[in-house]
Amino acid sequence: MIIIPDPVYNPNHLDKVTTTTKLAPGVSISKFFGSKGNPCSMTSIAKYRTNQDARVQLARNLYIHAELFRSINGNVDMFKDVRLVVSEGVYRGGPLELIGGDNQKKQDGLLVVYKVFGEDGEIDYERTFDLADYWKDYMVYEKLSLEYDKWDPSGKLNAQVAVEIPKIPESFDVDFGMKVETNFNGHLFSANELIEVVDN
Amino acid sequence: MTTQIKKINLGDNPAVENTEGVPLDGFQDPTGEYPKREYHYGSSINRSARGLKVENLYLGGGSPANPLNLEDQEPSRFPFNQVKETASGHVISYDDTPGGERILIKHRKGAGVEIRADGSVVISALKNKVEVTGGDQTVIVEGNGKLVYNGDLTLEVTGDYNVNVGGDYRVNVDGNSETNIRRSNVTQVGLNTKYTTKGTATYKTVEHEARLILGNEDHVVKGYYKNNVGAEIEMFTANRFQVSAEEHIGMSALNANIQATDISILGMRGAIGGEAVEFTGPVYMGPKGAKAFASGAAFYGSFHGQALEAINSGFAYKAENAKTAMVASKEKAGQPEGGAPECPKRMEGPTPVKPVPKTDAVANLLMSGHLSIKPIVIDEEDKLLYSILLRDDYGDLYEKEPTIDEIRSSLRDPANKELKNYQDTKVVDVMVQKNMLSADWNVNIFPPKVNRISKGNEVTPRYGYIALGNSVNNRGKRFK
Repeated sequence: MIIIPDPVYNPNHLDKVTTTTKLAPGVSISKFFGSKGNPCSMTSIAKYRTNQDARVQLARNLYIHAELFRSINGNVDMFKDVRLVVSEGVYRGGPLELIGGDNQKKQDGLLVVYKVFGEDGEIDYERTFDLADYWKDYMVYEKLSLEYDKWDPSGKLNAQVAVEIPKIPESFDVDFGMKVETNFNGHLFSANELIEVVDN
Repeated sequence: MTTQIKKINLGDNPAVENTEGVPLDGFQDPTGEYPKREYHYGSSINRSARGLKVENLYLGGGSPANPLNLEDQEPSRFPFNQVKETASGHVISYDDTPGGERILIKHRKGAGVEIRADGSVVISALKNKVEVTGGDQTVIVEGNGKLVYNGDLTLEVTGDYNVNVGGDYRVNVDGNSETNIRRSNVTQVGLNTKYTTKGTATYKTVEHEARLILGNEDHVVKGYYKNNVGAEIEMFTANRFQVSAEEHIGMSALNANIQATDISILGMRGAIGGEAVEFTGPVYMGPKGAKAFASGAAFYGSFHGQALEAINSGFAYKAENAKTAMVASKEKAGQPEGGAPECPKRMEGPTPVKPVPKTDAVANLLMSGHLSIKPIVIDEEDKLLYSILLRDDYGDLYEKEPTIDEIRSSLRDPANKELKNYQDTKVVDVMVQKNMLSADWNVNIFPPKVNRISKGNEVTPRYGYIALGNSVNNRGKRFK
C-alpha cells in the first residue's frame, strides 16, 4: 500500500525535524514525547540528539500515528466527548536500561499506546473500545491491541490501545498486517478480536 | 378584562382560548408570566432598552491590589438598544447608544460575554470555564496581564516549555519549592549570583563536581570546617600557601615529606626526631646560640667527627694530645691571652624535658588519640550512591519513584519483568512491596467481566455516522 501523505505535513519535505514539527493539524511530535508513561525530550535520546535522518524516520513513523489522532480530533459524531492521550510514546528508557522488546519499537516511533479519557478526567472504558473498534475498521496498522490491566494497587481497571505500525520508508510504500488482539494484565487474552473488558 | 371581547365558537375543546381581544392594560398572557412586576403600569418596552436599567455581567470585583479597570457603562438610550430578554432573564443586547455601544450576551444568573464601547471584552463564568483548542492557540496582549487564581494552579506541558522574559523574572513562594529535573540543568548568569540559606544547605553530587573560579574565592566559616576525602587531596598554589591555627595544628601520616630550598622549623619548646630519624646539618647549637662552652645544649651518644674542645671525654678515638689537653700549658699564637680558659670539669649538661620519641610511642600517636591518622571510608560499598540513584530499589530502570504509567511502560519489555536491583531483588517485587504495583499483577490473567466483542476480520456496522478520512478498509488510500 502506498500512503499519500498530506504535503503540508510530509516529513520527507522537512529540512529539520524538532519536537514542534507538525504531523497533522494540532498534532506535533512533542505529543509523542511527553507521555505519562515515559516523559522525555527528543534530545535526551542519543539517536535523535543530532541525527536528522533518524529524526525524519521517526517523523515518518509518527506521521501514521498522527493520522490516528486526526481521525479522532474533530470526529464530532463519535468522539466529541472524549480526549485521546498518548500514554506511552517515544521511549527513552532507564538510566542504564538495555532497551529491548516493545520498548525499542516505542523508541523508534513504531509503537504508541493511547488512552481515552472522558469529560470526568477518568478513562472512558466504553469509548476506549469504540475507538479501538473504529481504528480497527478505518485506520492502518501492523497490530492493534486493546489492553486492559489491573496493575494499579487501587484495583482500578486500566484500558489503553496500543497501535504498532511497520517502519515507514521514504516512499511510504508499506504493507500493514492489520492484526488485532486483546490483552489482560500483560497476557494475551484473545487473538484476532477485540473484547471489551469491564470492571465488576 | 379586555377592551373588546370576541367570542369564538371552538366547539368542546377546553384547551383552546375561547376569547380574544385586547386587555385594558395592553397584555394578555395566559401563563401569567407577563407583564412582569417591573413593567406594571408602564411601557412594555424592555427597561434596559429605555436606559432605565443597565445589564451587567457578574464580575465579583477585583482581587486585592488588582482592579478590573473597567469603565462604567453608559445607560442605553431609546431606541438604540435592541434587547431580547427571555422569561427567565437571559439577555441578548445590541446597543448602539452613542458612547455606550456594546454587545451583551448574559445568562440570567450573570454569566456571559460583553463587548464594551471601548472595545473591552468581558467574559464572566459563575462556575467553571472550559476552553478546548483542537489546534494551536495564540494569545497576544499588547498591554500588561495578570492572572489571579485563588485556588491551586497546575500547568501540564507535554512538549517543551519556553519562557522568554525581556525584563526581570521574580518568583515568590511562601511555602516550599521543589524542582525535579530528570535530565540536565544548565544555568548561565551574566552577572552576579547570590544564595542565602537561612537553614541548612545540603548538596549531593553522585559523579564529578568541578568548580572553576577565574577570580578569587573566600570561605568564611564561623563553626567547624571538616573535609573528609576518600582518595587524595592535592592543593597547589603558584604563590604562597599559609596555614595557621590559633591553638593547634596536627598533621599525621604514615609518610610525610617536607622539602624546601629554605626551610625553618621553629618552636619555643618541643621535640623533633624519632628513634630512627637522622639529622643532617652543618651547625647544631643550644638555646643560647653559638657560644662555646655556654650554648646550653647537650649531646648524648657517640660523636663521630672533629671537636674543637672536649669538656669531658672518656675515650678519644684518636686524640694525640688528649692526655695533656685538660689545661693548655703554654700560649700559642692566636690563642686568648693567658692561655685556654679554665674549663669546667664534669659539667652537667641539660637533660631532655620530653620523653624519647620511641617508635612504639610514635606508632601509638599515629594509631590513637587526637593526633592519630583518621580512617576515611566514604560510601565503601556504594550504598549511599545506590540509595541516591534508587538502584538498590529499581536497578537500572528508574532513578525516581515510578508512577503506575511508567511501570506499565517499562514492563512492556519482558526483560524488565525479570530485572533485579543492586540488592539482587526483583524490581517488580520491590514495586509490589512499595504498593506501586498490584500484588497479583502477573498472576491474574483473566478479566473480571467482558462485554462487547469485535472480530478482527469483520467490519462493525455503524449507523448514522460519517466516517472521516478513509473509507472502509482504507480503500481511499490504497493504490496497489
